Amino acid sequence: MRDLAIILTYVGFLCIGTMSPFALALGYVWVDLFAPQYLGWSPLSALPISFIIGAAAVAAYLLLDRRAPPKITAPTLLFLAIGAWITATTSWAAMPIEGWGKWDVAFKALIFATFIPFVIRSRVQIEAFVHVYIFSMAAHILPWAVKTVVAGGGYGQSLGLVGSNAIWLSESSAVATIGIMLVPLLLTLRKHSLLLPRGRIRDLLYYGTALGGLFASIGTFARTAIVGLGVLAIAMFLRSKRKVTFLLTSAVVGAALLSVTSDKWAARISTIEDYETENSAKVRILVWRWTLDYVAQHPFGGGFRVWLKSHIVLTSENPNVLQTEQNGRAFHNIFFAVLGEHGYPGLFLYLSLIAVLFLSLRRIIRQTAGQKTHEWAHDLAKALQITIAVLLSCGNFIDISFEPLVWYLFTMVVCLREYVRRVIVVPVADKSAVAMGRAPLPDSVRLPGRLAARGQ
Amino acid sequence: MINNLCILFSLLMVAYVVVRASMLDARRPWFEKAPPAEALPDAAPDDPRRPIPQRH
Repeated sequence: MRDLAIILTYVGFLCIGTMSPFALALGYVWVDLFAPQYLGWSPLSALPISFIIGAAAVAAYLLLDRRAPPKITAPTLLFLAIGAWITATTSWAAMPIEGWGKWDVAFKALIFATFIPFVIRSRVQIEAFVHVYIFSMAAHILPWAVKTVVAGGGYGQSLGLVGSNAIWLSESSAVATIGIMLVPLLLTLRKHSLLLPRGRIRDLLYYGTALGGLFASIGTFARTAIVGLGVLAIAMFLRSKRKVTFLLTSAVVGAALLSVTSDKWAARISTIEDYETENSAKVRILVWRWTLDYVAQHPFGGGFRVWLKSHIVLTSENPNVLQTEQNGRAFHNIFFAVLGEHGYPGLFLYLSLIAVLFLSLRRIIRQTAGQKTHEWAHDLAKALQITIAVLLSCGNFIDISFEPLVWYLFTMVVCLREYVRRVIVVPVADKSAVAMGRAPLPDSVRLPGRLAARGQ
Repeated sequence: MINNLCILFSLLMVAYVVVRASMLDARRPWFEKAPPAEALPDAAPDDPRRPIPQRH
């Protein structure tokens, strides 16, 4: 039955794509983030489903939908530069077989993310993209939430759809990160979505999924969740217009989250203060030191999976405990991962992209400030800022630097930026001020007549 | 049971959103009336569906 539902969804994407080409691009995103091929036996697992729907998306764009292409901007150039650079670093990878395997996944997600702004252009398409992004991954997050509420969760347990660490979506820190980072996007969709009819059911769906993400993050027992929740709370508090209401709501949600925790959870989380002696944290710090030593000798990086060559020595202050040596420990940090695998140029490109995306979001927020017509874009840009901030904060404890969720999130910013560029009509006199993000424009000059009223 | 319900929820949401978005964004009339040209402000300058700015 499960297989049938998944096959019908996949075939549905292909069918709808013949009439609405952008649906094929959403289908590719769904395959990457829902990972249907890992969810049990089905004919899909024997087919190159990503390739089929990806090729169909590009072909449909070229044959049916090639209009209003996006402007080639700094993020797009950086996407391409990163794609070229990771190909170069993989060519001299220290672990070539494993490296090319990882490159295959990373490069495809990166290139498809570069392509997405060509097909995701209108407000409806952007909203659909955000929905597919969220609800594809929700399938992997919500089982954690339900099982946490019922049984309390647990460290190292496999509460998701696939076995623990079988894919990146099943790793506990990744689950915690995703559960938290989706919250701002869900709250924005609840307020502005055109796709779901307004009403209590809609509110329940968005609030329920957001709450589910928070419960899932707690249920993983990952210390990453505490960092992510802290960043989320601070960022949302700063953005909140009604701070007292926000604090009261946060207190209620916090109490609900704590009600499902246990002494084991508290014991696990408290080790965050004890990073110098706690084994897991200590290993990470030693691997980061190894990375710095490695790039001192290999400034252009060692290619994907270079961490398999890592070598660390664990010592103890207790003289009765022997020191142990460990090999092949992962980075557990996106920045050290990029540094170790792609060297200083790779880290420079990666950080430049993040900086450019934050500047783009800041510009969108300023250009749409006070505009009823573009309030949705304004709020979505703010939500994306918080989501990316949570992702990067949690990314200090897990290596998801080249996983598809990162690239599709980044390209969401490009799609929104391009939408705002297309729909905002700037008078010549005000162009420089608006381009600098200094001056929002009055509604009357943005869109002609009824367009502004419709908010499309 | 829980896993299957979560998968079903995810698939239903994705399917609903994609179908609804396709209907709203229809490039040609489908099983719902196509949106008016005003719904496509980002159409290319030479796209016939692009609305003509009104002078007031």
